[in-house]
Amino acid sequence: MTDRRATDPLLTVDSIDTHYGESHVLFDLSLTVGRGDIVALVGRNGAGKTTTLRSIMGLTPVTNGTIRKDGDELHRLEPHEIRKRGISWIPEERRVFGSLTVEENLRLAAHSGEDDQTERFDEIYAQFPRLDERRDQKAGTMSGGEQQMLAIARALLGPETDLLLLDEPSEGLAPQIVDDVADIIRELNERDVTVLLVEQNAEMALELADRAYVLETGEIVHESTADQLLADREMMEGYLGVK
Amino acid sequence: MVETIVRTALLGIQYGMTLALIATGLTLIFGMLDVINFAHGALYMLGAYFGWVVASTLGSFWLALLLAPLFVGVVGVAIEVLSLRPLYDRNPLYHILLTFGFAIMIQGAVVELWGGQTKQIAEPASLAGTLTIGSFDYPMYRLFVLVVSTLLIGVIWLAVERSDLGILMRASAHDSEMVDALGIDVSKVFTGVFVFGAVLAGFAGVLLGVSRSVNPGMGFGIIIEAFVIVVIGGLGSFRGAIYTALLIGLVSSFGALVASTLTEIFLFVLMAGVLMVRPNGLFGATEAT
Repeated sequence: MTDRRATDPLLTVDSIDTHYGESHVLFDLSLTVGRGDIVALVGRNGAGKTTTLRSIMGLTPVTNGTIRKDGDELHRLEPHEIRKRGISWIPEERRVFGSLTVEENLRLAAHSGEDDQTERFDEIYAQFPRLDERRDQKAGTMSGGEQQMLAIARALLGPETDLLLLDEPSEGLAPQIVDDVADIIRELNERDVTVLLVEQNAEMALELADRAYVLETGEIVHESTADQLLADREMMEGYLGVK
Repeated sequence: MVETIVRTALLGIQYGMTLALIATGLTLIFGMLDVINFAHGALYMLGAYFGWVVASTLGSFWLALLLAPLFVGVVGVAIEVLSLRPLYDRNPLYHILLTFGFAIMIQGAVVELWGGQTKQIAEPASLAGTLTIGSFDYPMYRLFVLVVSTLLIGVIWLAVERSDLGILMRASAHDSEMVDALGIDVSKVFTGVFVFGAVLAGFAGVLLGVSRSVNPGMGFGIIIEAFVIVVIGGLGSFRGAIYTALLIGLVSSFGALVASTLTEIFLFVLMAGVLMVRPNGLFGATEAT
């Protein structure tokens, strides 16, 4: 596993603090995602994983610290401006627009792209044949796995994506489907999409990832290659409750 | 007998369609912005007054119909951008107090500027008189209002159901944060919807400013009816607002035929009845996905 972050960091989160109203959720949190890497952010429920992604996306603005992509500061940018800088966010529970069809969900995502997206549409449908078959189906009536495919496809339309923030993609999916999703993430990564992956399912995330951070009550408590963390059963158990 | 029924039905449909112009704006604003806009009736009233000013100074109903809604739209931009936008994240009570305040302020400003007495927008000469088919006749202007508002509602319906803009509106109503994260500036969509609602209300104000009267209290009268429609149709439901507006138009016109003093009571009885059977309104539950 090569550690590219020192030479070429794509995303640098530097000492951020984040609050939800009165409650302090993230404490002096720093992490780096190298270009082309898959970085896993693991930790127990409520550790602040989702909030970290929301802070990067500008949805829950930080109260302190800086977030940079390609050296440019993302501070005070609105989520739609951050999306235009190549960051795509796939939220927990996917949040596809249930009352819209598959096609309408994708058209909406393509809406913010500047170039003609017809070609990208064809690519997406070729990549996700299940979606092609279900173009006119309401997204809300699809299975969890299909909705996850749609959420990923939606994140790839519109402005070019080079950093994907994935929140719990395996949540609520059957093991077979989790493998499919892992394959898709790996495929995307081979096409130069950098991935920051938040997972409760630490084993799945660490098998995919190059590097890993462990988050505990809003603080980074461990940083290593994914293999090192996966191999250290004691640490896995201590931090993540995985036996 | 048949003639009376046809006449009453036409009147009901016409009134229903103009109500739909007001109620669709109100329901879209609620569905997307989560704002209960008490100023909506005042914007309708402002449309009627602007229409009256343009028509009486420039002498053209058509210019009034074109310009007055645009003026109301400008007022809408000011209200949304300057006052509502900072309050979106707050408790809905703030929105109610704010828009209610605007309703009172606008009414006060109108009385200050143009006095409290009733006005009327002059009917355009080209639409004067009646259309006669055999022994049946019907006022031309009312027919015009019927056709124009029905066409307009039809176009809006198509746009909401079919166009990219409609997709954007429905998606924003469902999950505006997600839409923003997809790279779309939702605050612009919000402004657009608010202004669109304001323009429609202003348009309805000019249309009804000819057949009904123009007075400072007209906004508060119409907002009650519009809210009844939005509640019966299902809060935030676009289709529900249109169907219900039509229903309310017919109930009003036929109700007036039966017992003219009781029409308002009919509306509330209808609302209570619907809410007892379907607490989310006629279309509320189906569109809640």
